[in-house]
Amino acid sequence: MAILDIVSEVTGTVWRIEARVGQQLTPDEAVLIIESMKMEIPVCAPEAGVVQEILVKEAEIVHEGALVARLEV
Amino acid sequence: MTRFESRLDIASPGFASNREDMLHLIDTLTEVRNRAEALSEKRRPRFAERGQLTPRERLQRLLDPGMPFLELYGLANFLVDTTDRAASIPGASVLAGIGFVSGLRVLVLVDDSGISAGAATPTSGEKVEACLDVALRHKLPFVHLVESAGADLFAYKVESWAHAGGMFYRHALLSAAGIPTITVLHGPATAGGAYMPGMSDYVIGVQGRGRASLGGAALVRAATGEVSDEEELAGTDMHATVSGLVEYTAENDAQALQITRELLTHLNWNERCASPGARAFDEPRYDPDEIAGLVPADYRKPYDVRELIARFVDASAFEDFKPRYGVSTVCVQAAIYGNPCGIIGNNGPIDPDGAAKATQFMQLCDQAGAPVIFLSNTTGYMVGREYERAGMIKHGSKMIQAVSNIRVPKITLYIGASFGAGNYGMCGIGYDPDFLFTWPNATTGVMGGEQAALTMDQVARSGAQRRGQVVDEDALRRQSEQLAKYFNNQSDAFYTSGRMLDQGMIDPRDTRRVLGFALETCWESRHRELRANSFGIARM
Repeated sequence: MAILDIVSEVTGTVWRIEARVGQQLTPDEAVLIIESMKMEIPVCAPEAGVVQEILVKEAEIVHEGALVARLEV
Repeated sequence: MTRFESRLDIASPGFASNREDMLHLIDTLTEVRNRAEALSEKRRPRFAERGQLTPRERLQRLLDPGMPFLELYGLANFLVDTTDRAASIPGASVLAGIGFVSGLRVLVLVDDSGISAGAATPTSGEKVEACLDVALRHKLPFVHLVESAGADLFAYKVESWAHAGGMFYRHALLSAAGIPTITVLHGPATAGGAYMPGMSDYVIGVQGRGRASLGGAALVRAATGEVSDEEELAGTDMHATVSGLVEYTAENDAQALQITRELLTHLNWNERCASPGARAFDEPRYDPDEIAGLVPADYRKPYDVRELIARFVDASAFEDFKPRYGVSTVCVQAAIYGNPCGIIGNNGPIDPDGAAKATQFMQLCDQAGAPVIFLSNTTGYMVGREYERAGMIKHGSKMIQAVSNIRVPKITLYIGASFGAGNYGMCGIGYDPDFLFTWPNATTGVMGGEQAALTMDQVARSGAQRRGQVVDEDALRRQSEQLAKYFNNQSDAFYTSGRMLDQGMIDPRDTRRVLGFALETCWESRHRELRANSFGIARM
């Protein structure tokens, strides 16, 4: 078991959290959606795993490269 | 080339709903496009009575059967004649496009004399000039099938008249560049319109119908009191026997078009153009029809533009350039009908790394002589502290500089959002693309309507706070709604295409065919040698 850090690739506002802690995700499934530059940009699981932790709340500002969730793979 | 493996689920509800939205927009496009033809067709009995062909029949007779025809500025004047979307007629009473006549690639213009007798609309002059520019740039013989009542004096605008002089200026440039210009007089060419045959290298007149005069009988009577017969004043026979304006006479429309086809075979036009040679290619492995379900009608929803590229490039194969750097800007090398090209697309806003990557890619395409295709779908260059610090202005500017200065053909498609300077960096109309077409879902403008409304809302709130006033929420909400509507109306693809901010609207599923035709047109023009002179052809 390894822990994978999920980071936002863009600065923006957390618009919607799609996954919950404990949820099994498939590769490319969205963890949350960042609203930035009028677009809804998903932050996705790079591989299959279980959401261990979500570190941001809806309406919170995140910066590029910020850690937003951890995945157990 | 690397084969792309699609991850698109064509059985998903998202695909079905995207497809439904897109097909609805395509239906709207078809309905709008058919309006001009339906209106013109109403005059069919009059054409038949006079022994004439209708404008569309003329076009069909002129063109080689079974060969492609790329319509240009098909929506020109839409929402300019009236703001009523249900009633506006597109086309500016002119049919225009690039097609094949006697095997030669030519630019054809046909006056749609079934609509108000071919009288010019506010956009007609601009459309004709834009087509003349395409002919000059791509070295295309220019054929104009003329029948026009001239300008509508009740709709006269001094600026339209003044700028219309540019039509004849461009005719002069074409002739001097060694590009033949041909006018067929199917009907009247009066006043300014008389300079169409006058400026052309060749004039073919239809006896009894073709007419050219600086003033029609009514104007002559008003000016000098002279009572004249239209035929002796302006008729084809007079011009063929007395004035010397007409080179070839025809008994009817069909014969005039046959003479035009023959004439083109005497130009030795393809003697001075290298043949592209046989190009082997494979069709895309993924069905271009799936494009309709791939693209969300709402630009806020991102998708992988590679899925689109795979549906119009040969064999659905391409080389992904720096896929892990500046990831939201996608650059690939591919081929379309065997024509190598670079393609730039957007998976989101353009960040500093994406801008730098696109700049380098364009310079490499220039080095390789490969045309660049821009799939414009970006909400702009990234804003915010960290992006400014990373040199967003610097990198974005150099991307715009590269777009401006590359020497290879540039072909742009508006396929989604095209906002702000992102439009500039992705080769919008201001950057002189060789070809620029739009999809019906595209939205173009300085920013989105909601963004503009929110910006002005924040300006009003901070102003009120500074002055110690309470904001009128109702008034502010009304202002926001109005502003969003004002912006969104203007950014709609039908509105922008009506104002000729592109060369026409296409069905997204035709993307491969349109790009292929555009690339071949560019290839030919770059390989064609002209016999230019400094004077243009004189008519003695």
